[in-house]
Amino acid sequence: MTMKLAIQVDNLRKQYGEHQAVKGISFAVEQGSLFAFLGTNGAGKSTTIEILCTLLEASSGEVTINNHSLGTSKGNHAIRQSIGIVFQQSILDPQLTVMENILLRGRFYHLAKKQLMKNYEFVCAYLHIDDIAHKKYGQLSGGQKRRADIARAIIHKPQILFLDEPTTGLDPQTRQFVWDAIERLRKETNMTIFLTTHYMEEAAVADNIVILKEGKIVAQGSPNDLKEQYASDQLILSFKDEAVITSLGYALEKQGDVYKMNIASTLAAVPIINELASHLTSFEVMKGSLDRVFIQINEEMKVH
Amino acid sequence: MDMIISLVSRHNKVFTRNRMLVFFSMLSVLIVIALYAIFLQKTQLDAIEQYMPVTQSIKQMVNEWMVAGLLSIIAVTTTLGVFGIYVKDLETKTTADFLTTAASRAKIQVSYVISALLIGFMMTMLAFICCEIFLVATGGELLSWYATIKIIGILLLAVILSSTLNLFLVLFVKTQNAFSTLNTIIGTAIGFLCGVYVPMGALPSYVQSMIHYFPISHTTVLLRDAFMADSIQNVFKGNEAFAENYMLQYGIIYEINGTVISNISSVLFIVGTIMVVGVVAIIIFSRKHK
Repeated sequence: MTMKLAIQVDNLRKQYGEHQAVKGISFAVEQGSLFAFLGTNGAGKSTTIEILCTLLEASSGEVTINNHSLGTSKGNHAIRQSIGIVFQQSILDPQLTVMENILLRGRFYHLAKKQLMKNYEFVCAYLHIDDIAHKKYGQLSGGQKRRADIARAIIHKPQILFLDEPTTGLDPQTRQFVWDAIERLRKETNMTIFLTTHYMEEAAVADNIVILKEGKIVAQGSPNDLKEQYASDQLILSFKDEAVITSLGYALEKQGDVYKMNIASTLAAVPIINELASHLTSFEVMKGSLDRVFIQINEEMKVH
Repeated sequence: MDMIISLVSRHNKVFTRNRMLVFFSMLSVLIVIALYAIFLQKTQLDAIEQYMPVTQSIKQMVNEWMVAGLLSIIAVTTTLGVFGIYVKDLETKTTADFLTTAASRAKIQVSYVISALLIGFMMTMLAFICCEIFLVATGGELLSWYATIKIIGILLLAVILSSTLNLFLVLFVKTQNAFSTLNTIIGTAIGFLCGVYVPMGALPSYVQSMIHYFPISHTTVLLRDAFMADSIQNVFKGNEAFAENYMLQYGIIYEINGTVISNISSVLFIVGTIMVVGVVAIIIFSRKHK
């Protein structure tokens, strides 16, 4: 089955004088999918997003968004009409009410007045805006602000929603709310979600992940692919008497006063533990996590 | 059109609901009033007293002098205040949000200028009404219809000139910090450059020449002439030489190379500046945001 592509990036480069911020990256985002874009600060994430959102001109490369090619004035206009962005920081006007803020920006998309009001009612209901609609944006709590930000980003019912670290600095409960809202949106409207985040557990539910480092893609795939490739499940053992270890015939790696070994799955640990039970003081089975993928990839890069 | 109206109304709301912005755009006005109340009025009256007894109509004339200077400053500081919104938007990424929408770039740009013109004109008109109340309350006569219309016209011209010059300056400002520095510099310098804080005659001649070629000071000259024409007639009663000396000393007329600059020349100078600076600003603006 071939999926329709929402975003296609081919050999994208961005040069600032001598410095190359993005060094020829290529990736594709399927329509209706949740795509996570990871990377440490300075990896080129923000630059790439700014290019995709038509804020920055690429130095070279081809980008197609919703079948419109980026860079031409006609293409950019069509792209702008079909994308919504939740910026990292609050960008609505603190002096205006939430309703004033959202409706003002809604007028930028050439919608008929009736349609705009219909959309407004939809986002209000969707993000529980009603109780804060007439409050000034500047007086809202962090979580309420984020709700308003997302409402603003989807007022024109875009096909793609960009979220640039949408949950950074939020309390756990608000993070959960934001996260649920995004998930619901994706499932119910088939909107494509393009996400950058620092929280690995958020990227874990993505369909596809791209990890960027120093302007280059260093890994990509589904969360499971990445875990398999970079961070397999591990068994951690501590022995009563370390003298027996050499006679056991397992490839163990010493780390502090424990020993680690990679295993194919968590279940693979059972026979090993059964066998070694009499020599052990304790054991731990660790499932591969994206956190470890991320750390592993960054470590590897340092070595090379 | 709908989009521009929405944007302009947004800028206006952001401005009027931000008390700090409103306060700072009025700050230089408060400085002028304080300076005037503390010593400017007294020094002027003392100087005149050496030649003739100070009467009510002389006080009136001096009050009008102050009011004219004040209004020309207000046109500058209020329009600059509105461009503060533009700089803030740039820094807080609000501009980025606008630019990622299907709104046309030109409309976004024009909206700030229209907003500056509207707010600038409204604030100067408000200040004009307050000044007129002050003049009448201190025993002066109500301005004639002719003078009132003339003054409103000059104020409109002053607001357009200030918006254009401020737009040009703000194009080089990227952060709110830089903007508040610019605001402080202009707020302070404008009073000197229009000969409002210190009368022209008290300044060294090279500073006087600088002021002569400073376009905004010509709005001050025009305003002083419009406000004071009647009272100068009343006070000096045909003593031409004495009247002209006073007018030169206090910047009611300018004399460059021995010729007195006519009102028409001042108007032409202002209009010319608006056109030249306006075109340059538009070129820079459109190169910045493609």
